Amino acid sequence: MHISLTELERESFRKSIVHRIDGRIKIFMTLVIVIYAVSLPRMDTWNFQKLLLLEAYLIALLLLARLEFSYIAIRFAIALPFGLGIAVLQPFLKQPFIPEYTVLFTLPFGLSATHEGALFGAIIFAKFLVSITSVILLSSTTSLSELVASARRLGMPKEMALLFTMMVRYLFVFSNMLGRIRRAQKTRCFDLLNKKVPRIWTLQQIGYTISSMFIRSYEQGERTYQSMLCRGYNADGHVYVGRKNLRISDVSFLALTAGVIIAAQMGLNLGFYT
Amino acid sequence: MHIPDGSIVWYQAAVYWLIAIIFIARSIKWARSDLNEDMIPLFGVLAAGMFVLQTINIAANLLIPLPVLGGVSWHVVGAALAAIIFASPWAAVLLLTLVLAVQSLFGDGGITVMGANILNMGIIGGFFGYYSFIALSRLSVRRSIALFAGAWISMILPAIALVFELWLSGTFPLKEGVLYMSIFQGAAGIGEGIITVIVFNAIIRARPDIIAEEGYKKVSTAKVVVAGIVAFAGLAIAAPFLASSNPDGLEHTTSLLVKDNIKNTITLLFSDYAIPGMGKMGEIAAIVIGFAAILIIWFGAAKILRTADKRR
Repeated sequence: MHISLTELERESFRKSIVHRIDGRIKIFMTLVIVIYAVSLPRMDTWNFQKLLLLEAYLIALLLLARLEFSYIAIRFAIALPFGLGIAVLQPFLKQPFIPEYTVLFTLPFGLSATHEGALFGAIIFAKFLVSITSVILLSSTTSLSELVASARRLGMPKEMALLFTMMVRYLFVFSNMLGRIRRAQKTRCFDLLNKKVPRIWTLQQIGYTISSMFIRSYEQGERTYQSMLCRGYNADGHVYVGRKNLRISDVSFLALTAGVIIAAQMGLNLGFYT
Repeated sequence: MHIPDGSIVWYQAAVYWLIAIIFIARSIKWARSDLNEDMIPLFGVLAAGMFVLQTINIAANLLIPLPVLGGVSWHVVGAALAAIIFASPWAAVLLLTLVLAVQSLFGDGGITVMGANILNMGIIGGFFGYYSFIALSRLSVRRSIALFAGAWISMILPAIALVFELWLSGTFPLKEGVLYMSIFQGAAGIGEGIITVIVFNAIIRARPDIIAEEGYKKVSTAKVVVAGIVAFAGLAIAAPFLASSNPDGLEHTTSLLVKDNIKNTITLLFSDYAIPGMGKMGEIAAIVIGFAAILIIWFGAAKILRTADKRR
C-alpha cells in the first residue's frame, strides 16, 4: 500500500475552493497549525478540546477539497502507524516530568500502565493527528511545483529554491524511470522473494537497480546543468518566479484560519469548553 | 527512523532545527564553491533520484530469513554512499535534507522535527559514515569492508541518536530503546552495507569519473581523528546514562536541564552526580578506557585484514 507521485499530483490538480487558495497562505497555515499543535503544553487535558477544534476545521477543509476518499484513507493509513507506535508506548514509561503516577493496570513481565502516561500518550497522538492532517491537506491540495513557487514567494533562499525547483521537476521523471525498470524486471520474472535463486543474487539485482537510478539521475543532472550553462546560467542567476497578488478570498481564508486557532486557544476563557 | 511530529517537545525540536540549518547552509556553500564549479542544479536533480531510490522497499527476510519478519521491509538511506561518492559529508547533508523535506510532505517524518531527522540521518549518518570509511581506508582495510563499515555506522549511530532525542522529550525508554533500535537498525545496516558495496562497485565500473577518489587522499588525518574523538566522546557521555542502575535521578536532571536556566542546572548536575569516590567521572573514565581498548582491537583487526589483503 503506497501513494505514488502520480496519485498525489492527480489529487493536487483537482478544482475546488481549497485548491484555489494561494500556496503561500496554505504553507503558512500548515506551519502555524503544526507549530501551534506541537507547542501545546505536554500535560493538559484542555489540549483535547483545542486540538479537536483544529482537527474538525482541517477535516472540513479536506471535505471541501473534494478529494478521493480512498486516497485520503490510504494517506492516513500510511502515516498513522509512526505516531501511533510512539503514543502506545507512553502508558508504560515513567516520564520524568510527571511527579506522581496512578497505576491503571499491570501486565506480566513487570509492565504497568499508568493513567498519566496514557494521558500523555493520547496528547502526543492528538498533536500528531492534527499535524499529519494539515500536512495531508497541504500536499493534496497544492501541486509540488506550486509549493516550491509559493515557498520562493515567501522568501526561501535562492539556492534552496533552485535545489527544490530542480528536484521537483525531475521527481516524476525518475519515478517513471523506476517504474520502467521494475516492469522490465517483472517481465523477466524477477521476484524479490523467489526462493530458487540465492539471496545475495537478489540483493545484487536491487543494488544494480539502485546504482542505475543513481547514475541515470546523475547523468540527467549533468545534462540539465550543461544546458543551463549554455543558456547563460551562473551563480548569480535567479529562477524567475512571477508575481502573484493575494486575492480577497485568500486573505479571508487566512483570517478564518487565524480565527479558528485563536478560538481554539481562547476557548477556555470564552467558555466554549465545558 | 523518521520521527513524527508531536513526539519531540517544541523547544528541543527548535534546537535541532538550529543545528540542522547551520549544517545545511554550510552544505550549500560546499555545493556552490568547494567543488570546482557551482553544482547546485546537478544536486537538485540528483536529490530527486535519491528520493525515488529510497522508495525501493526491500523485504527484511531477504537478509534474515525469519518468518516473523514477513511484512517488515527497509529502504536504503544512502547517506554514507553519497558522502563517499562525492568525497564529502556535506553531499550527504544536502541530499538528505532535500529528500527528507519532500518525504515530510508524504507524512514520512514531521515538520517541526525535520531538524532532528536531518541531524540524525544527514549529519550524524553522513559525517560518521564517511569518516569511518576514510579511517578504515587509511588503515589500508580492503575497500569493500571499509564501505560496509561506513554504511553500517551511518545506520546505527543515527538510531542511537534518535533514541536519545526521544528520551530527552520523555517519549521513549532509553535502555530498551537503544537495545531494540540497535538490533533493528543494526540488521538494516547490514543490508545498507551490502547494497552500498554493490552500488559503489557498479558505479565505479560504469562511471568511474563520478567518484571523487582523489578526494579521499586530501582528507587530513586530523579531521578523521576529530570525527573519531567526537563519536567516542558522544558515546562515552551517553554510556553512563545507559549503564546507570538508577536512571531516575538522571532523568530528573535532564528534565531540569531542558526546563530553564542553565546556571541552576550545572550546580544541580554536580550535586546529583556527587557520588562518593569518583562517581560518574569514574564511570566515564572507565568507558573511555574501554573505548581505547576497542580502538586498539580495531587497529589490530585492521592490521590483520591488511596483511590478509596483501597475501591475496
